[in-house]
Amino acid sequence: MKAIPGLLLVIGGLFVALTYLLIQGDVPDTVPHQRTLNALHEVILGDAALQRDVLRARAGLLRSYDPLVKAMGDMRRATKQLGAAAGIAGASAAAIAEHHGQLVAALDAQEELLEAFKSNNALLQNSTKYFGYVSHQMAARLTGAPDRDLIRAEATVLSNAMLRFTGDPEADSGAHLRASLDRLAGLPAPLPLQTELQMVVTHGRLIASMLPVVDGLRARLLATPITERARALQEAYLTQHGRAEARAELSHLLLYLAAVALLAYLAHLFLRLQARLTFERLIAGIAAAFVGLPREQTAQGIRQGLARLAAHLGADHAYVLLPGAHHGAGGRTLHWRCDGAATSDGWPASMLALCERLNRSAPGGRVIRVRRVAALPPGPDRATLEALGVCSWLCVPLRRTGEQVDFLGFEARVGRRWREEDVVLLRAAGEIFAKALECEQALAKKEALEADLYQAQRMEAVGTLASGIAHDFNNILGAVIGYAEMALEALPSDSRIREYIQQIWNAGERARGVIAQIRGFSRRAEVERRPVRLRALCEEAIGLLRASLPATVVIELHVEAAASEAVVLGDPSRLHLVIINLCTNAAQAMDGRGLLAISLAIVEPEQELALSHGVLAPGRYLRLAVTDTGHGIDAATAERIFEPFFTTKRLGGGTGLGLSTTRAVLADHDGALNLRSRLSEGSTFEVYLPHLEPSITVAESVITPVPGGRGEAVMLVDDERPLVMLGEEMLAALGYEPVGFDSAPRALAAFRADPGRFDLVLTDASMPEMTGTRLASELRKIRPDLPVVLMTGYPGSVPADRLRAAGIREMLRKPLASHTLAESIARHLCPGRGGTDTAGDRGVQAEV
Amino acid sequence: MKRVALASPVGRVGAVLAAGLLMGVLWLLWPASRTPQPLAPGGVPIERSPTAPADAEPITPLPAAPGLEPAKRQLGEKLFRDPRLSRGNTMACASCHHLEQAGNDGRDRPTGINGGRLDFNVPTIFNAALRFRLNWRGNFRTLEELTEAVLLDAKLMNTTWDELLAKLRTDPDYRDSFRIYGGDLEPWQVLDALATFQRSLLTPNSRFDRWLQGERRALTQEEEQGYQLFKSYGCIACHQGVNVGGNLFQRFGIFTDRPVASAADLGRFTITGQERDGRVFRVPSLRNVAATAPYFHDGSEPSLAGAVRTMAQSQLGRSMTDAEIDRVVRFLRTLTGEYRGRPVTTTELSEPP
Repeated sequence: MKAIPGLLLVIGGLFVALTYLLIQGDVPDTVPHQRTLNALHEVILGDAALQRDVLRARAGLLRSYDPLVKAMGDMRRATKQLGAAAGIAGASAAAIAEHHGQLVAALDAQEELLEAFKSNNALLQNSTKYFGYVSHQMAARLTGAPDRDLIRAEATVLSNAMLRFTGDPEADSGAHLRASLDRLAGLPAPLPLQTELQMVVTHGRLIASMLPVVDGLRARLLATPITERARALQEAYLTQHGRAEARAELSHLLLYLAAVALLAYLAHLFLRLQARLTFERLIAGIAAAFVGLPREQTAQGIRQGLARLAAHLGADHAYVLLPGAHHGAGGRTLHWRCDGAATSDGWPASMLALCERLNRSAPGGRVIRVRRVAALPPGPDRATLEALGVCSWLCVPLRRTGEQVDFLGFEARVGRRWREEDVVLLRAAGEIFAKALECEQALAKKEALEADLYQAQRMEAVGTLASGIAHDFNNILGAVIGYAEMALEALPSDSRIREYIQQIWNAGERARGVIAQIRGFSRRAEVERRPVRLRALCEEAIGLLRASLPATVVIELHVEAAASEAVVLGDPSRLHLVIINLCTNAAQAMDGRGLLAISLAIVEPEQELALSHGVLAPGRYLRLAVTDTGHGIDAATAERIFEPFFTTKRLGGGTGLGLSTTRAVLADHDGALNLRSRLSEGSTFEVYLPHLEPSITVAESVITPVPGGRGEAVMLVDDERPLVMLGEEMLAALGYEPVGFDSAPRALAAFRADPGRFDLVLTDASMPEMTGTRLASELRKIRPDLPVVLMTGYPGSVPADRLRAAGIREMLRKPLASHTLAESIARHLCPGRGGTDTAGDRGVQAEV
Repeated sequence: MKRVALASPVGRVGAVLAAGLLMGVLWLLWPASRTPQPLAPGGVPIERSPTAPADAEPITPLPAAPGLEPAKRQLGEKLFRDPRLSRGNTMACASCHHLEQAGNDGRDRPTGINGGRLDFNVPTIFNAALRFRLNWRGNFRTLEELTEAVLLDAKLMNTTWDELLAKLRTDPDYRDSFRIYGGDLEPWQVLDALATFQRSLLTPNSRFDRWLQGERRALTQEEEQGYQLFKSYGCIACHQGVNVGGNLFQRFGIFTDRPVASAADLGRFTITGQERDGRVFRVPSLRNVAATAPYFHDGSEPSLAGAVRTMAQSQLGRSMTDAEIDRVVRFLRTLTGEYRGRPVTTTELSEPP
């Protein structure tokens, strides 16, 4: 916008200058010029004619004065015209006007003389003619008259005197003539021819007096310097005219030069426009190159674009600097170098620092153009550039959303002029690159999300499958373990059979662990959240682990002071599982020998943190790290380590579910996983869980002693006979009096028969004749205060509102563990007892 | 790239500019396209008019009226005859210059617009354009100057330009007529029209002119003798040229002193104030002299013969016999020409003063 007044000024100046030249270049018009010359000629010719005619008039040869009048009139008119013509000579008209004034003065003098000459000459001519006529008459009439001798003699003398006088009107001859006339006039009267005599004397005297006058006038007339003055005027005029012409020629030349200069400028503009067009095409080409470019080739595409730009600008080095977390923690640099040479040490960092410093000092995205670095004033900027070997530098800041500024830079090893008009286009090119990068990132994010979705779908499928298997398997297992327990109790301690049964029980327990893993994995939908103190969970888990791991594995727990009371929101049992899984995994990685370190710390990343598996949004986290000194994990394994059923252990060594369950649990808890590993040095699994405000009260994780019954009657309903029997054994072992039914209608009938007999009903949820909830509602119709506990092998198979409607107090997961059962029954038989959930109780569901 | 350049707007504009420039150059080079600038109009072409042949008569025939723009001449005539050119619309130019007669008023001295008698006899307006100076004292060089003076003179037309132009502007006919000049009505246009008309007032075709042109029978023997006398007595010394006088100044009373009765008798002296101009007048033209009585600057001489006698005595220093005078008068009568094909006649004093 600033350029517009300047442009107007230039255009105005040019206009004035060209107009001035045009006016100056105005050659005196040929027509007035010719008229002036003609008028001058006319004056000169008129003067010549006048002089000639004056002589002729004096000699009596001019018949009329018309030619004189005409000559004078012509000269006057021509002179008047010359006055107007003086203006033609232009500025220096003063000299011309002076000459003209002199000419006019001469002409006025001439005219005055001419008028006097005409008047006097008329008289002179008349008298001369008359004198001659009368003299002749007298001579004729006096001839032969003796008495007139005297007069004749005198007349003769007079004639001679007159002749002499007219021939040479000297003072002497004039006196002679006058004397002769006086003598004639003095003759005594009367005389013959008296009248004629008087006439002769009169006219003679007139001649005597007039002739010198006329001759004097004639001489002055001829001497009047009209022609000289006219010539002087002509000279002055032509000089001025020549000067004007020279000036006109000069300004014509200047006009021509101006036209040539403008033409050259036009050509220059044309070329520049064309260059710009080329540049625009180049940039359009660069932009087009990104269309449909695969994501992985974006960087390559940008490098190619930079190469094309650099080639156009004649730069040796072109780059895009993307600082800050915008593109990941360390920023990003894309560059192109003409010779492919390595960049100077610390190149991107120092250059980026310089760019950012300069940009801060001159905000508003000012472009920095350095034609010659050597010409810069000494200072850190110049030093930086020189250290980088830059000779000429162009830096275009690209403002992005927010405070983030990227830089597009060009360097040359020779001095280069960076044209300002290119900068706009370069900015456009920079935007193209930035867009391409953004696009690339968006695509990457999209791909990650797609991968996550795929994983989730896979997990869900696996989970559903596992859940089904686990249910059936669980029931079988319940029977196996239950009977094994009973067998163990029934057998004497030294029996060999007992040893075998013990092995069966052990295997059953392992199978239960597998089922627990499967169910932990598949139970994602029903996360129960409560504030959990992770430290307590860790300690609990360590207690368990110490028992199960060989003593060659040293377990250490490091808790940061801040983290010791730290609380997360979650499902304690599942989190417990996570810890167990991670530690088990670590122990296995060490082949049963080494240091297993568990640490708890609070971390607060301020920016998004990239993890090995996923990203961590800024926030406050509790980090649980499990470090082993094992064989480490290679990259390929690390990538798949959290997939379900992926295991490095030999067949039968592991389920391949532990870490995938861990990942699933963490995902449900808005947590994140990070794996750091070095081959043959060990690995660290880091778990990040959102830190909860510590004000929330946390239920202490306690493992309470198993409460026992005092002979209360418990109705047990299950359609599977073995399970009924197992349940009866369990209840009996816990001190209750179990009454088992393998059919719901029969159980209902028995209840009807004696409703007060039973203190609690324990029923399976899914039975062929009547569902558990239906049975529960029927029973409560009979006795509304009856506590009913539901058992199920399918998690989430009965909605909570239906449970509540049916008056079911709690739902237990099969296979039943005896202490779970004990606690539940104790809770519902006697509401004052217990009442809090217990950590590690995997069977407990939401209390209704 | 070239194709691109031509297709671009810049290329097109450049091509148009170049084509325009080329056409301009061609136009400049094309000789026929430049209108030749005539030299003559407005300019003064050199006119090498032959001076009168030395052996010809001292009097030359009147030329035909020059070619004048008819529209201007007609407008001038209308103005000439229009009394609105005077204050009170009482007096036109034609009031004193009777064009149907001898171009004068036939009186010794005219009566001014305010009733007073003026100092000089009205000279005929015929052939006035051929006089080297105008009026008795020769105090005007051009018809335009004289006309303006007459219009503005308090004793004559007594008008002012404002008044006069206002009158002319209100007249639609004049508004139309003056359009030939273009632009607003201005004084110079009025003067130019009047002067143009006056330039047309020539009276050619007098018997003497016909004689000069070779028609020997145009003059009787006596008239021819009169002409010879006119020449030999010296009248011709002043009364020569195309206008038979009117081309020089001369003192009235060379050989006799004429009485000075009024300032008017001092002649040109009243203009220049120089002693040598005392009693000097412009020599009057003798064209139509027989019709333009009374004579002399003050109109004091009613008869032509008397005027000739006075002239012979005072200017030539001699007396002429009645017979000689008669012959000269006969000659002078042959100088009466024609205006618009009709002989110029003596102005009758039929109109009231």
